[in-house]
Amino acid sequence: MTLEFTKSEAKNWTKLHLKGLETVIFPSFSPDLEKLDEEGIRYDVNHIIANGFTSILVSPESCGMTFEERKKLVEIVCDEARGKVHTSVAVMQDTVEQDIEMLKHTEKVGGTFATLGHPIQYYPRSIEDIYRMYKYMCDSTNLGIVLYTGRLHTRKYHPSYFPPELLPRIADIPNVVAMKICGGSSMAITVMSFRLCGDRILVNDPMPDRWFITVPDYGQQWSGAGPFYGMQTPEKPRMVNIFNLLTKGEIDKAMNIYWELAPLTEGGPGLEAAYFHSGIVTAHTDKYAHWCNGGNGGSIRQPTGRLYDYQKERIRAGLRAIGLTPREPEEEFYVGRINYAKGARLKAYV
Amino acid sequence: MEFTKSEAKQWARKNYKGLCGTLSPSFTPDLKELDEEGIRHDVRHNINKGMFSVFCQTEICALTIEERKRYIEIACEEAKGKTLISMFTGIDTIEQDIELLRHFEKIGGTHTLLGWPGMFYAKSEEDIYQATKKICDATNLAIDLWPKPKFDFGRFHPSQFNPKLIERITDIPNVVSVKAYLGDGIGKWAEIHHRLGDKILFQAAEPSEWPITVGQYKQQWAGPADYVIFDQSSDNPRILRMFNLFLEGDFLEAMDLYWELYPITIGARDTAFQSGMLGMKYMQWLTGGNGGMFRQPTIPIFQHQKDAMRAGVKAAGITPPENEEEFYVGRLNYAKGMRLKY
Repeated sequence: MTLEFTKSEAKNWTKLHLKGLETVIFPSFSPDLEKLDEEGIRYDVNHIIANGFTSILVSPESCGMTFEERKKLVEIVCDEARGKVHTSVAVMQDTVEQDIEMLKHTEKVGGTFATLGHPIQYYPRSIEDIYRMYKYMCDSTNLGIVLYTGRLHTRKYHPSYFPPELLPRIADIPNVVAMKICGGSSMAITVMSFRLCGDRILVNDPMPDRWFITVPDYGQQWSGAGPFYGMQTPEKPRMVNIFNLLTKGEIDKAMNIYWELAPLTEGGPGLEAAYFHSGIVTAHTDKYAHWCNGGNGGSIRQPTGRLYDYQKERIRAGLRAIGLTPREPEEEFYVGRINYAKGARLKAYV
Repeated sequence: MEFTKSEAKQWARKNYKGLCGTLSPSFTPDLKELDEEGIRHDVRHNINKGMFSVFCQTEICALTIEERKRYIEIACEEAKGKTLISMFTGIDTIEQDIELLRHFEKIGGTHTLLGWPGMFYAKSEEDIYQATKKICDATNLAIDLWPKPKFDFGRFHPSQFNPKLIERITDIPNVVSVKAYLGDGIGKWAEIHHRLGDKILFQAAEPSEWPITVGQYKQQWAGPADYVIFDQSSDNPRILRMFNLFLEGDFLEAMDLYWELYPITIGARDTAFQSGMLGMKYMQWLTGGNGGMFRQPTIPIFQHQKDAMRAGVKAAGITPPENEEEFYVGRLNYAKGMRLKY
């Protein structure tokens, strides 16, 4: 596949084309968890498009998969989304070499962007080390790079967990086009990022309550990736509407919808705060909420933790409180909606 | 196997004495292959510190089933004739769990800590019982039951795992012990104890609970848990001494050690768990283990957590290694000259 922009055009192209909300897609598996469920994944891509999102971020690091399976997941999503929405991939797996291989693969199969973090097997020796390694990865690809500093947590260089002096330097790398703030981090990190590199790249805070400041006052034109499908349906795309109204300056109308959704966030931040300080993607929770609102669902492999009844009940109660009707039966979630329709069921041991 | 199913409970009573340590996989620095030497080092680290058994953590990071098999094989080889070997059951599916158990039995494993896989959504308590029985019947290994709240059976009983059901499961011949915590609810623990009596072994693995569970209730073994992190030297480890003192009735002497180890038991260990089992691998490295990073998905360890873990082990009289890089590539790989790139 050929990208629509060269490295020197990347920033301008992105400014023109990356708008609206990006959401995340997780893998679906066959009910025995042994193979990817290609149909289930394609179903989710189309459900995401029907919701009005403009970009899909593949999350290949969210549960146990071989590298080949991760690549296949990216390929399926890129294939299904081609010509309809942007595709991106979260690149922060085991090693720098593996991440570079994933960047090259994504480019080959038609992805546009990569949200590039730092692999788990990386411990910087200096601030310069962070810059050089990041540039090395960026230079290996023509994809548009979304800088993601959220999971490196190098507090030893700066209390904000990432050396601020690197933000403008990294933003100057030609194919670095945007930056994603880690959900659940401090508002100060968001403001600092806009001030240090908001004039060069598209900074994005994915947390909806921040949009009321970041969109009108800092010019944020896209947001994500976030599991926004957990809060809306194609029939009632409220998250998409809030964001689009804000970009048009219709703040009061956006605010009205925001308050309709308030029952979902009552009780304060829960998962998102834990995420910033744990680095574990809440794929199970997000997949469940998406399934409640029409997504494929499907359990995922270990290690990812588990999803308990009380958590599911909280999700379902929240959705009911904002006027949605979560799907049933539970068993459909476990095997995935498409597999369930084909007659697949959980095994019975009684 | 050295015992038949009907002899399993008796076998456990005779052989489960003292502490069972834990083992987690080590990888080459590119995380592509298992690091066999690193794994063997950690088995020996457990043996040297007096563990009567070593538990292979099979579920804590991404591994293919073939790698899981190889990992437990390496552990069994290294432990042969020196210590018993156990492993965790309860990964993705029951069928996969049974496949791994059969392999484990073939290569010299003796017992398993039994949980339930991610792809098991019980519809009733009968369902839990039948699934459990199916697994137990499929193997001759001794089964240590682990009715931890994390398995999501709270919809059937407010304790998260009905003590009546535990009692019923322990009638299965090769179920030999139950691992539970006071921390999961004192009422739950007491009811399990009341129901099981002397029928099978019952224990709490948490050192912070031993003044009661060992001192008062005389559990004869504990684990699996990361007991290697309490001592720098393998010479007469304090954690084992403390366990034995509680068991023998030297309560106040045991309490002296209890307070000596407290900065690890509470401070450092609580922090380690914030980083999941990778945090525990870091603690093991601080106290002589191989270390080494896990594959994704794993919770990373943040600087403030490393600081807290270091402070805890230092307060308990241990001098941790300083070179962080060694942790990332693993002690043995580092000694061979391997370094992080960039």
